[in-house]
Order: sequence, then C-alpha cells, then structure tokens
Amino acid sequence: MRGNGIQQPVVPPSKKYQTYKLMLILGIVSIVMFFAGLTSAYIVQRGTKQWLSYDLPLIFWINTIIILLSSLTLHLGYRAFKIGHYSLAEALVWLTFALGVLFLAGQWIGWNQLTSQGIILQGTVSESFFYIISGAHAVHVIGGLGALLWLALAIRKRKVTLREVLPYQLVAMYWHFVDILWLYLFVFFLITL
Amino acid sequence: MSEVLRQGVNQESAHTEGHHNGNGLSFWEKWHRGESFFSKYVFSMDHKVIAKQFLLTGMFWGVMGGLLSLVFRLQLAYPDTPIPFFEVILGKWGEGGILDPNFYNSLITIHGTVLVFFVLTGGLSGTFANLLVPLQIGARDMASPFLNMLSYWTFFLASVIMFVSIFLPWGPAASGWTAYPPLSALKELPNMGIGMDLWLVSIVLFIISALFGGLNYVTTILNMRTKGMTMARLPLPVWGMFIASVLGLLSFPVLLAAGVLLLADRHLGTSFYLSEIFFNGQALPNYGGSPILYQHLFWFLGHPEVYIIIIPAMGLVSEVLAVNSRKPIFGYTAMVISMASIMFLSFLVWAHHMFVSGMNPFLGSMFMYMTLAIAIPSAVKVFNWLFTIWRGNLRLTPAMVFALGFVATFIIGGLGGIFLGNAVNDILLHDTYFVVGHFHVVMGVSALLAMFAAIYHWFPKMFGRMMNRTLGYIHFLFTIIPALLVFVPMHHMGMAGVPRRYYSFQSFDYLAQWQDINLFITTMAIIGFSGQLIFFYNFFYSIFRGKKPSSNNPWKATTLEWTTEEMAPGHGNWKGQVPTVYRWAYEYSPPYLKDTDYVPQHIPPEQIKKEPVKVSEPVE
Repeated sequence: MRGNGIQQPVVPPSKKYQTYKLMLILGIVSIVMFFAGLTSAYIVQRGTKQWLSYDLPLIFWINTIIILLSSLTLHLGYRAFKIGHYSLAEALVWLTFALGVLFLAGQWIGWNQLTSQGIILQGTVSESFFYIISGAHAVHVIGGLGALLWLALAIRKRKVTLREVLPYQLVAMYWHFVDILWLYLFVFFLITL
Repeated sequence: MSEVLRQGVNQESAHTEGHHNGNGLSFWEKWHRGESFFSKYVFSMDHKVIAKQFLLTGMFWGVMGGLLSLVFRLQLAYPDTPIPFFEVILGKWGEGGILDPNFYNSLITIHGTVLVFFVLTGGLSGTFANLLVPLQIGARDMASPFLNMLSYWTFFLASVIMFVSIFLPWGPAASGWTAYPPLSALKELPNMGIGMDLWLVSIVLFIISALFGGLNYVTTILNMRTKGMTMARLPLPVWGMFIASVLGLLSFPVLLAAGVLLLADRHLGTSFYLSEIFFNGQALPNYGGSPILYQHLFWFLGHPEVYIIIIPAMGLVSEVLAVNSRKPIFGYTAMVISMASIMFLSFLVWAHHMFVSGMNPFLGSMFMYMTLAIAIPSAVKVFNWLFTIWRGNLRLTPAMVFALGFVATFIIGGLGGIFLGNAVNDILLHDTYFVVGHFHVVMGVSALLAMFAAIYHWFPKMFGRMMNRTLGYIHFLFTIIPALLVFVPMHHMGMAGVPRRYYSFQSFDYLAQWQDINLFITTMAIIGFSGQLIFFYNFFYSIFRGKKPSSNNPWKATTLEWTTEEMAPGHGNWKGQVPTVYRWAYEYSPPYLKDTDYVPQHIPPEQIKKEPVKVSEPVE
C-alpha cells in the first residue's frame, strides 16, 4: 500500500480550479473577519473620551492611487498572458511588484509624516488604531509581494503558462483583494477620523 | 455481505499504480514518494497520520492539563497544610510545601487554555475531522494535504511554546484562560512577563493552525465528495465538522485581532485596553482605552469556541448512537438545521459573558433572549438522540455507552446554562463555582465523553485493531461517576456564593462549611484522573496487541470509511476506485431487507436482496 495514491493527484484535475479558488476565498473571508474585528473595535472606541481627530497626509491619497494602479497592471498582465504574450505579462507582473513596493514605501513615509506631526503609535486610541490597522494591512501586502515575485519568476521559467493559468488567477485574486481591502480601510479612516 | 461490499466499489476512473520499490532511491526521492520514515510518520501529508498526530498531542495535553488541575485541587483540599510533595514537583513555586498563590493562578490559566484549545479543539476536531472527513465523503485526502501538514506542525509549535512557558523561572501566564486586561496587559505583574508573551504567541499560532485546518475541511467537504455523495447524504460527523469549521473561520480571526491589540498594549506602548491605572502608587501613562473592548473581542470568539468544541462532538455522537441503535438517526434534516442554527445564534450571544461588566440593561436582555433561544436547537438535538435510541436494537459497545454518557451530561450541563443565560440569575451566579461546574459538565465532560466514544468507535480505523471492551466499560464508570461527583457539587457551591479562582477560602467564615466538599471534590478528581490510566493502558496496549477485528466493518456501519480494502488504509485510502454513493448514511433496519439490517452507502440498489414489505400488526 505504501506510495499508493501518492502518485495520483489528490485533487482530481477537473476539480482543481474550483478547489484552490474556494480555499483562497475562504482564506480571504477569514482575513476580512480579522479586519472587521479591528475596525469594529475602532468604531466601539470612537466617541469615548479623548478621541483625537486628525487629517491623513496627502501621501496616503497617492498610495491609494498607486495600489489601484497596481491592480490595473496585474489585470493587463493577465490579458496579455491569456493571449500568450508571456514576456509582456511577466513585465507587467514586475511592474505590479514595483508598484506594490512603492506602496509600502509610501506607507512608511506616511507613518513618518504622521509621527512628525505628533500623531504617534503610543498616543490616543485613534492614533494607535491607524498604525495597527494600516500596519496589519501592510503585512498582508508583503505576503502579496512574495506571491507576485514567485509568479513573475514562474512565468519567466514558463512554469505558469496557458496550460496552467490557475496560479496567475490565484495571485491576482489575492492582490485585488489586498487592494480593495486598502480602499475600504482608507475610506473608513476618511469617514471616521 | 462481503462480496456485495467488494462489488459495490465502482469501476469508473480506474487507476492503480503499482507499488514502487523504495530501495536505491535518494532521501529526497523517498520523501516525495512518501516512503521515508520522516515523510511517512513525521512530516506526513496523509490525513490519517495527521489525525493520529493530533490525537497523541491532544492526549499529551489532556494528561498535562489533568495533572495541573490535581495540583490546584490538592491546594483547595488542604489549604493550610504544607504538602512537601509540592516542593518536589514545583521547586520554588512550592517552597516548604506551600503553593505559591501566583503559581496557583498560572495553574488554572494553563489548565483552562490547554483543555479548551489543545485538547477539545485541536485534539477532538483536529483528530476526527482529519480522520473522518476524507474517509466518509470518499476522498483520497484533504483538498490540500500540504496545508493540512502545516496545520499540525503549527499546532505542534504552539504546543512546544506553551510547554516551555510552563517551566519558565518567571512563571507561566497567570491571567486565566480568558486573559482579561488590564491584568494581562501589564507585564510588570508577577507571572505576567515573558510567560504571558509566550502564552499569546502560542495562542496566535494555534489560531493560525485552526484556520489552516478549517480552510481545508470546508474546501474538502464542498469540493471533494465522491460521486453520489450529495450534501444531504453526508454522515453527521462530517456535517458537524463542516459547521464547526465555518464557525472557526469566522470567529478565530477576531480573537487574533484581540491578541494583536493585546500584544501592542504590552510591547508597543499603546492603550487599547488600558486607562487610568495606578500601579505601585504611580499613574500609568496609558489613557483612553477600555478593558471592556477586549471582552467584546474575546467573547466574539470565546462563545463560538464552545460550539466549535461541541458541534463536532454532537456529530460524532449522532453517528455512534445510530450505528449502535441499528436505527436511522431520528430527524436527520432537523439535526443539520439545528447545528446550523446553533452556529448562527452563537454569533449573537457573546455578551452574556459580560452581564456584570456594565451593560445597558436593554442590550443585556437582547443577549439574554438570544442565549435562551439556543436552548431550542439544543433541545431538538437531545430529542432526536433520545428518539434515535428509542426502541432501537441497542448494542452497548464502549463507544455507545460513552455516547449515551455524552447525551446525559449534555442535558445536565445544558440545564445549568439556562440559569446562567438569564441576566438576573447571572448577576448572582457570575464568577462563582456554578459557572465552573456548568461549563465543565456541558463542554468539558460531555465533549471528552464524545471524544472517548469516537476513539473507541474509530480505533480500528486508525490502528487496525480493536480496543478491549471490558477495560472500556471500567474506564467509562471511572470517568462519568467521578466527573459528576466533581462538578455537580460545584453547582451547589456556586449557589451558596463560593467565588471561583480563589487560592483558598480560609479568610471567609461563610465559606468554611465548604471545606469538606472541597476535600471530597479533590478525592473524586484524583479517582477520575486515575481512571484515565485504564484508558491509556488500553489505548497503547491495543495499538500493538489488540484483537484484530473480525471483519473490515466491525460495527456494521453504512458509511464509506469501512469500505477500504485494509482496516487501516495507507495513503490514498482506497487501493482501487473510490466508491460511489447511492443513499444517505443511515439506512439501518429498513423494513424491506432480508438477512441483514443495514445497507452501506455504496451498495447499488439492484444488489440489495429485498423482500416484500410486510405490514406488521400494531403492538399492544
């Protein structure tokens, strides 16, 4: 019996796409619950004594545009990929990666600008929440960057091709999610701060 | 019947690879083929091996948690008497035989944490979701065996960190398993330094492990069922695992958020949970936070968590009861709907843990109604279990007596919940031994009994041998009787106002009368714990020397896990094809059957030997 079943795929090919997509969707649902927990904690604390309102620096607007652009480049990459333009697709994935790095750098600059304005992590709850929530989002972006890096290299080695589009779809799904998540958080902070 | 069983394995999608000779392969090649020692038994991706790993880790923590409880029970039984033995086992925490009060807090903290998370969540659903989900739905493994392996090893890492924290010279976490701030957020307090940090890290890892597991179980159940296995034909253990996993996926991340904020309060200088605290005569700089916020976040998981424990237990027990009553489960659809409505309601009741935390009475009564509403699906389930065994052809196997024990303790403990769910009663009973007695009976003892039922029932599937029946019955008596004698008196203590989590009751005159009861409870706890040694002997002896089962389907069950060619199958589960399913999982004693009293799920209808249905005379 040893080795039996190991040689054959556990997930039948016909169900592979459905299975991995479902798994990613469920993972995204639990990440959503994580941020829902944080943002609802924020709402509960809002309106208590000593709640500091402040304006977000301009850089966060720029970051929002950057990460939206990165979703666009990744999607254009997918369109190139689907018609077999692998090198163009790879270039667009690298561009997405670069925009992601730029986003993180922008977040870093934004945090520094806030700190220099006296809005610090150790300050009131409204200040702390911004750092913790945007920081938690940045951690998820770093995960996405790892996935993009892997995807770009896999397309270069032609491990991900038209015969195997699932990895691209999964990475894109996660990256768009991280993008939309930031959009939600940004609008959330704009309204509540 | 056995020929029929063989033929029932359908012929489509034929695929059998010959056995590859493992000699002459490099270490990594063997690894990838799953043939090296490490990949077979240690970093295995086989769901059955992972199930056993979860089970053994859970059993280890069960012993550990039990031993910790015996230490604090001895303290409660002999509050004034030095016990020299303490110094031997606890070192500086038991100097001169006197238990350190801070260490008492650590003992109850670790006891609660490991039993709730590591034994009853990791040990119970980790084991049986892994073992049963692929086997009962007819899949070769989980949707992602790799993620499954990662889930176990994250759990293992969490276990190691928790274990190390117990032996730290600065003391393990002492905040109670709920880790309420401000206590848990101030690292300067005794036993709240690095021990508490390790506790938090361990819980964070455990949450990640539970999420990996849950992702896998849900995806596997939705996507990998064999031909003919519709959702409406799933055996109830699979339904239980499915609902509990969805519950976990939605609630564990919120605990993660609570833990992240707590870690930030401890190490980044934030004040999410802290405000206006004086410590050693000095005001702390923290301002503006609220400890109540933590309670909300914690119980948003914490309450679903008790259902994450009990719903899989309900599923497992339903299966054992139906198989051993030789009757279809009563109200299959009602069972599924009631589990789903418990899941739904469990998200709306968390604040019943916070009736005394300062809550708007209107809000409190809303949570009270929701809480009491959970009694309805719970009662539906109890009713269905009772009607499943009603006039059944009962076979009192060890698994069956444990399952019956589950139903009994679930009723007893559940009644206590009706007292506590009522806000007015809760104000009196909150933080007394009534609460301790209630949750130990309804979620501790009953989930443990369900776990034992499942171990006795599916032991042959795991190890290919049977456990000893006589020892099983003795184990049952030595479990349920001491357990009830430990926890039922606690209800009475609680009604008399004995507060929980106290190191000793010597300074309060009105509590002195309970000293004898405390001694009695401790004695029963020791007897109950010793009773588990019978189980451990039986378990480990049977792995190597147990009786071989007479057939591949020793309990004559209908579900797919008993259709594998080998009793304890290798990776891939079925050597040939995965069987096709033709009916639900509870076709026991249908009136049309000749010679036998059950139809397995994979037997095609044309192979059933039928006889004309006779209309029986009404029984007087």
